[in-house]
Amino acid sequence: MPDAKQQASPPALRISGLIKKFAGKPAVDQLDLAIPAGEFHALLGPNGAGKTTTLRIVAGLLKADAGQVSIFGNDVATDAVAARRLTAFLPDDPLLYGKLNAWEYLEFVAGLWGIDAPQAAVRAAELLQWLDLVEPAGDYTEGYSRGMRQKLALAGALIHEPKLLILDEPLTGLDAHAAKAVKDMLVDYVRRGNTVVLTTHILEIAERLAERISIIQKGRIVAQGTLDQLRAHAGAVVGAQGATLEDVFLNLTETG
Amino acid sequence: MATPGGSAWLLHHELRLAWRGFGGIRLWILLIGGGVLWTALHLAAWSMLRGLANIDTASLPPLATAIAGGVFWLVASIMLSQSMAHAVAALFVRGDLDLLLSSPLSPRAVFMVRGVGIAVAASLLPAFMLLPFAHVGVAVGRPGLLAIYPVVVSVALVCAAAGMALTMTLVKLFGARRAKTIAQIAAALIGAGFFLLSQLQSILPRGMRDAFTPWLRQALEPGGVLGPESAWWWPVRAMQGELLPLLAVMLVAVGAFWLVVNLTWRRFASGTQESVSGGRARVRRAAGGVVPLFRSGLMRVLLAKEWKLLVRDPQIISQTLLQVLYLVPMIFIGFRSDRTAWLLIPGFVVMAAMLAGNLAWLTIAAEDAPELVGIAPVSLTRIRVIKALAAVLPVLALLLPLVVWWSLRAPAAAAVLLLCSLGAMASAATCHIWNPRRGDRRDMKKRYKESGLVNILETLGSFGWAAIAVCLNGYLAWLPLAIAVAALGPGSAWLLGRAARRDGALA
Repeated sequence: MPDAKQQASPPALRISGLIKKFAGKPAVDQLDLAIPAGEFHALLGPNGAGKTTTLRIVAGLLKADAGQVSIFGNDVATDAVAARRLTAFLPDDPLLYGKLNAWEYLEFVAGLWGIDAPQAAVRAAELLQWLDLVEPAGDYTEGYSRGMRQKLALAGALIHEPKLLILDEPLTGLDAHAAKAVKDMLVDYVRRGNTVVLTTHILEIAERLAERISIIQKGRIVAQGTLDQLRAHAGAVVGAQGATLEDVFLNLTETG
Repeated sequence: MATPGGSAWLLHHELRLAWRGFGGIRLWILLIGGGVLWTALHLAAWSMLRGLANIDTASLPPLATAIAGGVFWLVASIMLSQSMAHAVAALFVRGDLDLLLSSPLSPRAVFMVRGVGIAVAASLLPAFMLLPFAHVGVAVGRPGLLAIYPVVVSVALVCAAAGMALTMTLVKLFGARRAKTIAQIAAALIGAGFFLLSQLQSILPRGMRDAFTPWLRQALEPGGVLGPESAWWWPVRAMQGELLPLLAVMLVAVGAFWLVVNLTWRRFASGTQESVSGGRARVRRAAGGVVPLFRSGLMRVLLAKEWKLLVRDPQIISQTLLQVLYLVPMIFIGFRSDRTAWLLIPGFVVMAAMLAGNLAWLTIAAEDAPELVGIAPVSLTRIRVIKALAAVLPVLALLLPLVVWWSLRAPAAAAVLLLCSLGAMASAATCHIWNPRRGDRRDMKKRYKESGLVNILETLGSFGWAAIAVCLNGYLAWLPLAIAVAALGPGSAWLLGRAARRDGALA
């Protein structure tokens, strides 16, 4: 499946030779990554490995010290507007406007992406329905629970129907029902030909949802592939049959 | 060292937090800077009291007591306003009450200590200003002025008690969430109330003014409602060491504080829980699941979003309301007398720039979701320009009626007011665009700490535009200098903000 996707060009996301240092210390160190269109890709790594920094550079929120990032062939540094039109980024703790309600928030986000108002309103209604937020949609978001805020931010990310959806820990704080709704939505989103890149600390989510997984440590990709490929990469340390992603992850990040 | 868990220990904790909230200024800077200022205040007090050393205060004209009393009530109204703001913070803003109220500490002790903390915070500035008079008083043979010490403490306690009682009453009447809004606005109104009272002469219609002036004159005479022996001026007499007023002031203070603590501590605990666990704020809902109409276009959507966020935040309203309130009496004066138009223009220009600068800080620097704005496929400069417009347009709307009025009676003054106000407001907003610094709108008071440099540049620009207005009224030779000063603010912001702009500081 990924092989067929990789034949299509350009890739949804291509990162080559990416470097970012903070106070002289490398957070991202010569990172290379290519994700074909239509793939569900998980980016895993221990705390401080450079996942969030990488995603923020891809989203255009941080400037890289070196290297290139392109989204569907649009360089994020030189052709930022074209790249951003195709992208949505959901940070791990999305900030909403406490004194706006859900409708107003989505209206604002749609305005930022220049979406036609009637079309945006219909899309907003669909998303709120889908994420079970219609009932509280008239309330200020300052009264929302963490899960509701996360779902509304996701609705905001999806309102312009991005081809590449970048999510940093999207399921943090969600209850079981909300988490399932979001997971179903993401799977469906990829099924319709879009690309999702997510980071998560819940390895089971990556194991169940992602077609390919990249493991990042100390700012570099230390392993990449399907779960089976990662198992092979990690070697026979944990036994071929019963190894979970957690076993593989711990093995790779300990030795990597 | 106070015993952990006791009231003194908790008070020490409160004062430490208050000190750090004050800005965490290094002690040596405070000691040197404060010491120099305090010495200067002592010298000023010396020069004032030396001349009064041999004068019997009883022989002073009645108006002297009234003026001193007026100053006292002005300070007291500001202390009350501060106490209300601190009470709101103590009840709604500080996030440690869950911890304190779930500990073995008695809620009553927590409430009392927090009240003392409010009193201490409210008394700092008046104590700093007034205590030099007590010290110098001893040196010039007026030891009675040492009574300033207990009077400042007493007034702070009364203000803390009144602030807490008012806030608690609002909680009882309106519920915790609405009480927070109303209390913040009330604090702003009380703070500005005395100023508005002092401007009554300018605001009142001619007929009422004609009746008010003789009434006031009569009231200030001996035996009148506001005469020298009136109870309104007892705090001033207490400060001079008169025993009966001093005892009365102290008794009222301790009694009021004790009563408020004992009558309202239970509501304090329940109000806190309500504010912490309070339900979602409701706003008008789209009826029957109907999808509301969305606006089109970045400018309309962005302006609507910024204005909604401004008018829906009580803290912002209470802070900006003060500036609007100070502007209103000037506008009234402007309507009444177009002959003084030229004298008023510089004041309008500076006030308009201050207000627009504050709003620009809110819309540009204190963006709540910079990441969302940062990843949008729109140039950040375009977004910031629209945000600057969101700050300038409301202030322009406030000034516009006066501009229209003057354009019929003093067209040149109207044109200069419009030009210089727009210039000053644009200058203030441009400082935020060219030198973007992140801010947090939830703590507007920190604006001056977080964006201190931008604030100075804003002020510089507004003074320059005020000077341009003066120059256009017949001092054209000085115009180039005024223009240079006006350009210095935004120009410096541009130069100093290059790194922040390059790094996309808002994102």
